[in-house]
Amino acid sequence: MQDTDNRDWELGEKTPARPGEWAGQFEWVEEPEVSPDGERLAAVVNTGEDGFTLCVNGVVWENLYERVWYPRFAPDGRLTALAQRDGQSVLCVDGEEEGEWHDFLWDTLFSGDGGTIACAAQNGGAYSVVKDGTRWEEEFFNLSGLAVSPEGSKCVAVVQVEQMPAGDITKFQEGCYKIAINGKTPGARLLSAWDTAFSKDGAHAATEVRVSPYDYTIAVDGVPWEKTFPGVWRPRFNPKTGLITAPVKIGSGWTLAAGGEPLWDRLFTQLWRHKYSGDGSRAAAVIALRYGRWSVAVDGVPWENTYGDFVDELALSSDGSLVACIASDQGRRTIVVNDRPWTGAYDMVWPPVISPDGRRVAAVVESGGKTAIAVDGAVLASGFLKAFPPVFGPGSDRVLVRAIHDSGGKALYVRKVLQLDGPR
Amino acid sequence: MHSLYAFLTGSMVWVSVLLFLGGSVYSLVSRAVMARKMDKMVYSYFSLHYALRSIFHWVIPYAARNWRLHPLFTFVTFTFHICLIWTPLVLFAHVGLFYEAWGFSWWFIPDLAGDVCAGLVLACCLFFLGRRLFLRDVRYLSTASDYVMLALVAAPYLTGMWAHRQWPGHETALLLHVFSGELLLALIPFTKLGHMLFFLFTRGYIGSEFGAVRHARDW
Amino acid sequence: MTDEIGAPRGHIKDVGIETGAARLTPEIIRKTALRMLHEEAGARLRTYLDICVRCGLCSNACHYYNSMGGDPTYSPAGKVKETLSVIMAKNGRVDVEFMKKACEIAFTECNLCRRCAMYCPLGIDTATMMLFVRRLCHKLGMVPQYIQDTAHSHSATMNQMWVKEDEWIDSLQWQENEAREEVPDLRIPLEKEGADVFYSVIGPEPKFRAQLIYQAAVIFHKAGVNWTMPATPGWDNSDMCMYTGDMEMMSRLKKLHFETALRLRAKRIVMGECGHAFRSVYDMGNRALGWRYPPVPVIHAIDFFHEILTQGKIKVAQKYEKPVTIHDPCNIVRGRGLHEKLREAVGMLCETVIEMEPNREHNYCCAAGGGVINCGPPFKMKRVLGARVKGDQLMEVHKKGGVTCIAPCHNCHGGLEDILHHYKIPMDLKFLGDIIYQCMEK
Ligand code: SF4
Ligand code: SF4
Repeated sequence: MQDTDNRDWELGEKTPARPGEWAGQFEWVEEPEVSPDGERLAAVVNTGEDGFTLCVNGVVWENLYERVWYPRFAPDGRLTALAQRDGQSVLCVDGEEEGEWHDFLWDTLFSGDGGTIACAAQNGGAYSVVKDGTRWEEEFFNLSGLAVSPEGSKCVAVVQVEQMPAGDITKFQEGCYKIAINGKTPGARLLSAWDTAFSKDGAHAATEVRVSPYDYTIAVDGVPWEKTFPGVWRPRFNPKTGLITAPVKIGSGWTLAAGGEPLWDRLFTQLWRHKYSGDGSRAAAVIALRYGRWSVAVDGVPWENTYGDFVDELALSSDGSLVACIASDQGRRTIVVNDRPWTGAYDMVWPPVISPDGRRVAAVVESGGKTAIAVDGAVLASGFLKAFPPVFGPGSDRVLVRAIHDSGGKALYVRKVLQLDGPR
Repeated sequence: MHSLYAFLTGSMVWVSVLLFLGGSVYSLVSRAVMARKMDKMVYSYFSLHYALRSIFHWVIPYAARNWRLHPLFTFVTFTFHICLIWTPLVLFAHVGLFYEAWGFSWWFIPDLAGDVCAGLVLACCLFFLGRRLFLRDVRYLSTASDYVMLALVAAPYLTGMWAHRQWPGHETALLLHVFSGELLLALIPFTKLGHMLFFLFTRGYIGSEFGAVRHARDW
Repeated sequence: MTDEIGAPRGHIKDVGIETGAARLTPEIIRKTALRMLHEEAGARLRTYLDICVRCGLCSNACHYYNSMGGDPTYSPAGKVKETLSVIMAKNGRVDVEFMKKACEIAFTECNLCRRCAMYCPLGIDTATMMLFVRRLCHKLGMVPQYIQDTAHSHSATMNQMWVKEDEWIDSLQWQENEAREEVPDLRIPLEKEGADVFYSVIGPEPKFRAQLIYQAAVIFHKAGVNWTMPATPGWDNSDMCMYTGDMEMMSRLKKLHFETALRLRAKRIVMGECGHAFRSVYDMGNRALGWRYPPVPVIHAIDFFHEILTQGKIKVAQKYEKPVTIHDPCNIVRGRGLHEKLREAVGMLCETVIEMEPNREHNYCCAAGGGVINCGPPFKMKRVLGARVKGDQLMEVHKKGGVTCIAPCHNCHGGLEDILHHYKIPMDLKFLGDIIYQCMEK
């Protein structure tokens, strides 16, 4: 996460919320969420007889509901949650109900800047998408895999366009699903479809699809590549060139392919979750180098170190010179940066965060039930009950720590900006 | 006749031993290579400890539940396999041949004991034949090749005993003995007799899977 | 002894098998089989076929063989002889009728229970070979309708029962509301990051057996477990694609399941009382993706219940009084050796246990496993008849006074229910969770 707005980067500590004190005021307090700038802490609270609402820095929203769930801060700082009453759902944004009530709402998603908020919606058994309070005109028999484009112009989902009588295996194999783009379904009929990726400008969407019982490929704006594979995973767009790439299975191995042709010149036992650097100059992917040994390949070249449990959550600096990930071996997790694991191993590790200058890596780590923020392998701040992802300041020399710690038996939320030592 | 005997006990020994050894190495190695390519997990999960644990329980009579469920068969099959393998290796007549040719020898059993063992092998073969003929499931499972194998296995022991006992036609029997013995040896790697080679690996692998991955016994 | 061998096959008409067969020609079969033999018949399979000495020692390992009057075509080696041996020997030159029969055998006469691998002195794993035949059938587009439909559901919805995204969340919230009537401060925490336990269940739980989620929630709540469930696909740990031979879809399902656990930063995956799902997550799905062991530790409910019982996190208020017996699900016994923990847990909860013989690793399958029950009504009678030995075991227990059969597996429940009904055995069936819920201090 990088800072682009006018956040308070003054060194020092604030305590915007005292969740430990909320506990006494409510029946219970659920898992807290924190705003991107760290100034607000919010949690669903059960107020007792009257119902549920959100408590933000100790102040509750006006409306009470039978249920409030899925509180999420948008990247622009707006706080959303899904509320239910009398078997109906509504989206709440900063305490206000946005748009109509629906039979069910779920899967709140945001565009990159948070300007757009979308949810999946069900009304009377018909499925649709609500974007910024407005429901698609089109409705479908089912809907899944909702995605919002980075600039917010598009919502894409996998939709069922034809009803299947129970047990009709022939109909399924003829294809009852399509990709809906802002409600329209211009593309081909599919057996199934899953994850979608967008081009940087949001103009195009690529989705992993199944076009026959044996063939998988990538559909671009709903239209499948001609070439198919026995397996594909989630595609990505190169942010610079717009080239669509996807992990594909060829024979008994996996490689990265573009437009159906292999891009990397070797096969791996497994390859998935590839990502590009911001400038599109490099691609990295999680790979299994051989059976049971996991690693990372950068532009097709594998790292030397391998890990037995898994490798996950790749992150690349914008120029691609730094690649970081989570790796786990024998139940101990750590962060690996450019093939070098941090010396510490932890019970749990959260995704690595790279500084804007691409030289530092920070992450939330947990050991023995206590959480800490570590930067470049060294603990920066520790002893928390819970820590949220750290944020680097624009100069890469400061870190915003958002964490909850135990203050005399009561949970206290702290927001601190810490100075990092000189450049590495 | 003499030259045929010389041929059978000379070059043919080499041929059969080479076929046996070469064939065994070939079939084991080619399977190992194939497994490297197509059954990667075999290598990944093979555990010496658990493989031996499993093999151990299956080479001890009545140690596995299924051995106990088939008491007579177990008795017969262990007798059969022990006599089948040990008799030719420690038979005085065989050891003597070695001594003549190479000048060294090892512990041996008298030929009379050899006859008893061969007789046991034959009796066991008859038992197996009976199973193939009269047990409904085994008869159904048996194919022509299973009967041929049985005959092939019995042949050297029958002819060996024949020759040693000097029954009529024992000279021919001796030739047949040598020939069938060599044939049997040479065929091991290329037929179902190969279970003798692969047993350690198939049992060992399932033992590894059961022991190391599934934490269960397999006997 | 009669000379007539081989149960009549082919008289059960299944839409999936028939429509698949209608599209086939010997040429298609040969090409598909050759490709599969070339690409997927590895050293293990070939060695099994090469060295089987056809001794018949595996026959009495198989409950089908034992239940079907010793019909040798039901013996493990017999099933191989009827199917894969021929395909291999003839290099795929088999006709459509042959493949229909092979399909019926592989899908409905073998539970992939792996008991025979324990009884063959050479350690030949017949289940592997039957699964190979199933995969060939999948590639030929000839799979029994009901299980194929389930596999389609997996593909479209990432769960076994066509449960839509909102329906999943709705069922959890509904169960939470129900449970709050009993335990007012109970929660089913959705999407909670960093919990100790990601609790995953099979598709039929939210659809048909939602009370199990309710009970699990009460048990976890009382035990003070820090747990969560996802509000996204990936919640379902079940896997019929594994059993139709659609390994590509199996991989996809397991990938999503593990990714969900990783995304939620859960320390362990605890699964509900299901056997096949455990096999998929613990044994087969992870392997297909390249994981030697699951990336996140996978704990079966029995293991977890045993843990919280022995740690005293759950207290037994009153032991279950009716005499019980224990059915060992193949996939967690031969698949994970949980039989002793199961017995210890039952011992802590129940007054009297009457064992079935044989038990533990040597248990008989309920004949529902391996996707057989999922092949649906057309094959139900065959399945129940194939489980006669299980019926005999249960009848014995009943005669000794047994009242309740504890079976910690969903498919076993389905299978045992039919067995109890068909063989008129007046016993009831329970999950271990049912017993805990009933006996615990609340
Ligand atoms: S599978 Fe094993 S037990 Fe069965 S017939 Fe073959 S060798 Fe004998
Ligand atoms: S049902 Fe079980 S015992 Fe019978 S053949 Fe299949 S795996 Fe073997």
